[in-house]
Amino acid sequence: MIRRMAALVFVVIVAGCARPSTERRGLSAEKIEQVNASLGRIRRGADVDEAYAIEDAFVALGAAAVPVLAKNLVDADDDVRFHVVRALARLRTRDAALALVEALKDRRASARIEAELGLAEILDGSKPVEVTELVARFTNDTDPVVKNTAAYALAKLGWRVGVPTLVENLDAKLWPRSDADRRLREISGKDCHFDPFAGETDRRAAVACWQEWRDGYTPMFDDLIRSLGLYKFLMSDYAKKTLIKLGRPAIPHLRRALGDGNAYVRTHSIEILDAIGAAESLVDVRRCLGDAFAPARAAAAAALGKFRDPEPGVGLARAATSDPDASVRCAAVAALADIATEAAIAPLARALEHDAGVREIAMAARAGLLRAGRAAGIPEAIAALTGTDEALRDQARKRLGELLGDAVPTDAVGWWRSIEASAP
Amino acid sequence: MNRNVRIVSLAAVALLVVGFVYLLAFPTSSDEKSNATPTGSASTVPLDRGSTVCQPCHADVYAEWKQSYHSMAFTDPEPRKPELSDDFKNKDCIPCHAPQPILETGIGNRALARLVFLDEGVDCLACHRVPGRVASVRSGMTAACNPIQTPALGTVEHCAVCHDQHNTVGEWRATDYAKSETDCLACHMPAVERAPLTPGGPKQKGRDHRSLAAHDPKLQASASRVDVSVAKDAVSIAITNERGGHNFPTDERHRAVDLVTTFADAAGRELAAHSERFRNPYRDEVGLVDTQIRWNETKRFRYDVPFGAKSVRVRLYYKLTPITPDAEGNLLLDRQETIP
Repeated sequence: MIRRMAALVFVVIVAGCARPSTERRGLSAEKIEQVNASLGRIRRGADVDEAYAIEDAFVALGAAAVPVLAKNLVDADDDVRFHVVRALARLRTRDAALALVEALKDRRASARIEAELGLAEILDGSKPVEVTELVARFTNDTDPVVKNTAAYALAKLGWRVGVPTLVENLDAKLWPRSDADRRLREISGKDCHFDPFAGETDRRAAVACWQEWRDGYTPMFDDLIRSLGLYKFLMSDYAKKTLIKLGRPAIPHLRRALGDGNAYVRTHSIEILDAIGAAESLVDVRRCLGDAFAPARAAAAAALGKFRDPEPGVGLARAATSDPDASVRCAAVAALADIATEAAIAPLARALEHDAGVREIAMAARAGLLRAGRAAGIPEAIAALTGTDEALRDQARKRLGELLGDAVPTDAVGWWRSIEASAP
Repeated sequence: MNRNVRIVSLAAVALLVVGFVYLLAFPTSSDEKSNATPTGSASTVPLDRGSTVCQPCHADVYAEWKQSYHSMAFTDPEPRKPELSDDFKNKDCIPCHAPQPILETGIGNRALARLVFLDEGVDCLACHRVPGRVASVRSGMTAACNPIQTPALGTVEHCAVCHDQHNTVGEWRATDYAKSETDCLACHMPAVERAPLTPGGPKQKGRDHRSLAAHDPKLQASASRVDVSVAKDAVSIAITNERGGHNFPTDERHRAVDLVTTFADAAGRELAAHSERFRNPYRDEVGLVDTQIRWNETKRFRYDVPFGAKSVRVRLYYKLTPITPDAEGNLLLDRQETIP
């Protein structure tokens, strides 16, 4: 909000310093008549070329046309408002900017996007984050053309997070895929010779060309990763889902992001590596168990469980019992329960003892002990402990000692029975 | 010095001071620095053992919180419905329904999900825990939980972490309430006095931790004013968001307010019905527009009186979801008038 206000103040100051323009004087009555007649043509269903030609004519009228155009931002016709917004954006004056602020609330998404893009251009590169967040909202729109517009608007703002959407829309219907290719060419300065009229098979090579470009497009990854740290859930969630969808090409960027100064970027990068299944980042992720930010440590513990950390004793075991944050301990215990190797048994037993009063941790620890313990032969050892054969009892005690170390409970039989009783 | 230069210099200095004070009051804490443990000895109360650790010393506050929808945020069946979080299988909902301590993840950041004591929802520590200590409004407090005066506690920015994801705080900023610094707590956690800790001692001052909001019919009814004007040929209704400090309804897209007007003949038979809905539609509801009532906005409706109508009934419902039937909504107003 503060940034948005600052941006508006900026608009007002910049425009206020400008010399008085014809904008203040307005159009002659005759010209106003012409504008209204042109708007009437759009309203009656002018074709696309005619509507854009009318828009050009409005822009040619210059700043003096702003007041009459601004009045039509409340027109009932969606196409009228859309072209009025575009014309105002191209006129780039103070009053146009203020009108565009109103148009941000337009019921038609594409008009809102054009308003945001226009505002951003008038702000001349100051790139207020709030504007980019607003645009990002439309990445959830169901209309591929709106998505293209949003993606392009974002890229124009220097926020290239919408590029994957444009590449996806190369598989959409004729108009949106043609539009997506055009916008990709404008963003990249590259041409993959995509023929929107060609059949699906013939288009495949060009789509692959765009995908290859996207997978190597570092600015897009940088912006997506930066977005992970944004306050608005929708924006960071979009970035997170997109990075997961991009998959393996994102891994080197995400591994670098584990050292980012923003704790949210680090936390979500770990979660994405986890979701992609990037086991090659195991060592980097293990290091994150020492992160200053507790949610990052919890995410690291969860990822190590997914990667089946072959050395759970290195970090997970410590996190499960010694981390000061209960959520981290819970994630580490759940990870150990997933790994469920012999090496997980002793830390799980210690965690159960340490956090018996924390339901979520105790449940995960018991489930892990049950799984790992059964695989390691604990039920057999417990049965031997209650038997009459002294040699077998010694063997069982030794085995439990191997598995549980200093965590062997005094009443091992009762302990194991309570764990088995908790089995679902 | 030229007068203009002096004014500009003074303004610049003032801006610097305001910015410095703002940074001091609301540091963003997504970086390393803010995650550092504050100085001072740690609490001897285990602050990772859920809200029950607070109960022995703060029984009254704890009891209020237990009545609140904050405490039920994770267990309440309503957000668990299949069409909503589906028993929180949609993990996106957990960060605000069972958040990590907000003062630790940081003002100005998003909430992140807790993994333990989920059933406690928005628990005491979600708002009150700072690393190793407990955030307090007052200074100089001594207790086992080692309270520390924390200016960010209970500020608009504190609530905003969850409650501005749908722009409620943004809406509030556009009202006169923001100008007069009437903040979230003024309406949703009003000041209360509790029984003295010791017989004859002073009453304890605090805030109502029931956190009244979308589930409180009295608060809902106080937000709007409905004026009904009945004439022979038409009925005019004006609904004004008079005292809601934000849009009415606000926040969640599920919330809806319905204005239902029905005309009946002398025998009470319904002749015509009109329904107006005030709500911000879900993002995927193509074609619907946001009809929430802005603060100080009046929405007016005029209905022709059907032939034979002898009475008109105006009802205003607050609904937790758009699919809630009238009978299950909170009836905020029910007015019957005779047609002249």
